[in-house]
Amino acid sequence: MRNRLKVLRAERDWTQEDLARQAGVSRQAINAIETGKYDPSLPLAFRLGRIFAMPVEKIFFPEDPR
Amino acid sequence: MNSSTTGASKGLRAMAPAMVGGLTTAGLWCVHIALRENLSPGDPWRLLVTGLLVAAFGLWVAGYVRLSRTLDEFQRQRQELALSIAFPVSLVAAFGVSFFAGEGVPLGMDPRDLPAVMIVAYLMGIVIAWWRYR
Repeated sequence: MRNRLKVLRAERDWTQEDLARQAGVSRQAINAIETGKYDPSLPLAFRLGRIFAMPVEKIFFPEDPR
Repeated sequence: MNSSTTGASKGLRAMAPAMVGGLTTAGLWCVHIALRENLSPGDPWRLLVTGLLVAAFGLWVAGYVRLSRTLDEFQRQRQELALSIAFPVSLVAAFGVSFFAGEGVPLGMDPRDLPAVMIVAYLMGIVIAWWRYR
């Protein structure tokens, strides 16, 4: 799974720690999601969508979009 | 106090019981090894230290369980990976040592040190999990 988390976070000038605090997870979790090493659960993905005020599919998308 | 300091101190607070339990266990384990080299079985000091060692190990386990409840989903996944390495290694070690000891085959290992194998396997798992998700 790929995602635009890093770009969205940078647009808002947030640190990983800022986003982690809002999402209620550790900074390491945000880092692992951004680097594609960890795919978040659906509740966390929806929480991130709410934080960025956009649908989940605008943040996360499959590796191969076919 | 900024958010990262708050997060760090919260993490340290959650880790404290497990750390105290772990360090106490390690210290008492060393004392136990020294005592069993020098005192005969049944010696009151040996029994006292054995009792304290088991209690400290229980404290460590309770601290670990408490800590694991504070982890987020990513940290839980890392722990799961570490335990998925430690669990089979521990089972095979316990199975092998107990059965070979039962058959009278000298393995050059005191069965009382078996928990050390389990802890080392868990620590290896932690390192591998850290490496995998670094």
